[in-house]
Amino acid sequence: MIGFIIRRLGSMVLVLFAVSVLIFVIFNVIPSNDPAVRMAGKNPTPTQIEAIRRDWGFDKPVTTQYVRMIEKTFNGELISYSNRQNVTERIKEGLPRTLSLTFFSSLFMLLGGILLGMLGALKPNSKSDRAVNAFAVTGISLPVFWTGSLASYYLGSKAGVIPAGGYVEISEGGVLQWFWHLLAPSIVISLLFIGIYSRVVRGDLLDALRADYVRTAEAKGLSRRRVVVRHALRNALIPMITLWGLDVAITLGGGAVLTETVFDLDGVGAYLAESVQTLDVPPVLAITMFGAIAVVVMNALVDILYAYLDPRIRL
Amino acid sequence: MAEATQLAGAPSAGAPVGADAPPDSAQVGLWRAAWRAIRSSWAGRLSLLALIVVVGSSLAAPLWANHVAHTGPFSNHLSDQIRLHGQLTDVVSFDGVPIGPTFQGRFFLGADGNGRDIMVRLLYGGRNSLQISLVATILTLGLGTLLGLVAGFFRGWVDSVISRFLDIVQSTPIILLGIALGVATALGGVNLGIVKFAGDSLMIPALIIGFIQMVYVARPIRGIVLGLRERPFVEAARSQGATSARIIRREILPNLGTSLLVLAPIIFAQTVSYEAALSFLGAGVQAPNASWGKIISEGLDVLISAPHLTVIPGAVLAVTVLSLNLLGDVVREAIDPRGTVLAAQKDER
Repeated sequence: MIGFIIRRLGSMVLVLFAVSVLIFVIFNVIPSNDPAVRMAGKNPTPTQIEAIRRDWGFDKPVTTQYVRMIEKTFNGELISYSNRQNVTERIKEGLPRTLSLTFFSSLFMLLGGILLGMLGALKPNSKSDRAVNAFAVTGISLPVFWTGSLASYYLGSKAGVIPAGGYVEISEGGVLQWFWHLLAPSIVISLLFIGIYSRVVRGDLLDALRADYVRTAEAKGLSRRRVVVRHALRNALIPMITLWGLDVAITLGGGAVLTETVFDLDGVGAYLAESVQTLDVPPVLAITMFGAIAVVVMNALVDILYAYLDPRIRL
Repeated sequence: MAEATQLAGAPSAGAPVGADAPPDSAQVGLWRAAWRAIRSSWAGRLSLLALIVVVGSSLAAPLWANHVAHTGPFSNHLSDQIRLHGQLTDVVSFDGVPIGPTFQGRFFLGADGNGRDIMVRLLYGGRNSLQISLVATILTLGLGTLLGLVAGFFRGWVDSVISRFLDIVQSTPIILLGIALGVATALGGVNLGIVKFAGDSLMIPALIIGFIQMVYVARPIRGIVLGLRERPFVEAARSQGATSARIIRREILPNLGTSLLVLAPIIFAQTVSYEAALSFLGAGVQAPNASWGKIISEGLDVLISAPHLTVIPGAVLAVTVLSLNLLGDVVREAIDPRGTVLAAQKDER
C-alpha cells in the first residue's frame, strides 16, 4: 500500500509539471502577438509593457520564462495589471465562498444522482424511469447561466421566494442564512450533474442487479431492500463516485464560473469571470493553474482511496 | 480496456464482415437505422423538427434582415423612432429602456440597449453559434478519431504518449481550459503556421472548443479500436499481408461508424453549450459579433427592463441543445442498444 501511494504521488507530481507546461504554452507560446502587451491588459503605457517584459523575462529564453511564470504564480506576488490587485489575495478571499458552494452542490448532486438513478433502475422502462430520463436530458441540456439568472431574477428579485444572490458568511448571518443563500445556486449546478449521474447509476445498477452475487444474496433470502442497498448499489456506485470526485474538484477549482457569476457569489469562479471581461491575464493564469491542481490532487486521492478499498488496484 | 471486446454487436453494414454475417437489424445500414428510429419516436420527430426550424431560420437570417426588418445585426437605432399602433415610439426610451416585441417587421422581438434589432441579431447570432459548433464538432470528431485510432491500433509507446497527453489536457477543468485559451487568443489571434486567425475571428472559438473536447472522442475510440484489432477479420487481413494503413482504412475505419454516429449528436450538443458559455463570459465570440451566449450576456445587463432579451435567446439555445441530446438518445438506442460506445467513454474517464 505504501509503495502504491508513493508511486501514485510521484506520477501526480509529473502530471502537475506537465499541466504547468501546458498552461505556459497556452499563455506564452500560442498567442501570435507580444505576450507582454497582452499581459498588460487594455490601454497600457509603453513603460508598463517594458516593465512587464523584463519582469516576466519575455526577452529571455523560453526556459527562463517558464521558471519566472511558476515563481510568480506560487510566491503570492502575482499582480493584476488591469487593477493592481494581488491575485493570490483575491483567490484566498473567494475560496471560502467557492468551498461553501462546492459543499452543498456536491451533496445535492450525489444524493440526487443516486436517488434518481435507483428510481430508474428498480423499475426499468416504467413511467417513473421515463420521467427520470426526461429530467436527466433536460438537466444536461439547460444552460446554467440562463436558468440561474432567470431563477435569481424571477424567484429572487421579483417574487422574493429565494435570495436574488450574494453570499452571507456564517459569522454574519448564522448558518441558516448562509445555507439559504447557497441553496438556489447549488441546485442550479446540481441539475446538470444529477442528469449525468442518474444515467450512470441507472446503467451500472441494472448491470449489478443481474450479477451472480445479487442472485446469491436473493437466494439466501435477504430482503429486497438489503439486496439492493448493501449488495448491488455498493458496487454500482463506484464509477459514479469517480466522476463525482472529479466534479467536486472542478467546482472547487473555480469551475462553477457561470453559476458563481449569475448568483453574485464572488468566489474564485466569479473572480475568473470578472477577469475575462477585461482580458486580465494574471488572474486567469493563476485560476487555471489552481483548478488544474485541484483536479490532479483529487484524482490521486480518489485512486489511493480505491486502492485501499480494493486491493486488486495496488498491483 | 477489456470492455471493448464485447463489441459483438458493432459491425456495421458495409463493413468487411457484412457479406457472411446473418441478416439482422445492423444490415439495414447505420444511417437508415438511425433515420427509422428518429421517424418512429415522437421525441425524435419533435427534436428533428425543432432543429430544422432553428437551422433554417438561422440560414435565412439575411433574408429576414434585408426583406422584413430592413436593418442589419450591427446597425444602431438608438435615436430612431418607429410607428407602432399609429404612434411614433422611441426605439430606446430616455431612461435607456429598449422597446419590447412589436411583432411587426422591424423590431419583431424588440431592440437591445444599443437600439439593435433583437430578431435580426438572434438570427445572425444563431448562424454564428451553429457555424462555430459545426466546425468545432467536425474538428473534435476528426482529431479524436485520429488520436484514438493511432493510440489503439499501434499501442506501445505511441499509445503511452497519446494517452499521457490526453491525461494532461483532461487535468485542467474543461471550462477553465476553454477560458484560458479564449483569453490568450482574444487580442492577438492565433498563428498556426499555415493559417492565421485574427482575434475576433469566429474560427478561434471553433478551434478552442474543437480542441478541448477531443478527449471525449479519443478515449472511447481508442478503447473500441483496441478491441477491434484483435478481431478475426483483422487477423485475416493481416495474414494476407495487408499493411497497417490498409487494415486501418478497410477494416477498422468502417467499423467505427456506429461509435461516431452515436457520439456526433452528443458532442454537437456539448459544443453548442460550451460556445454559449464561453461567449457569455467573453472568452468566445468577440464583439460586435453576436452568438446566443453573447446576446444573453448583453441581455442580462437590462434584465429588469427588458427580460425578453435574456429569455428568448436562452430558450432558443436550450431547445437546440435539448433537441440534439434527445436526437442523440434516439439514435443511440437504435444503433447501439447495449450502450457500448458510451460505456467505453465512461471507463476511460
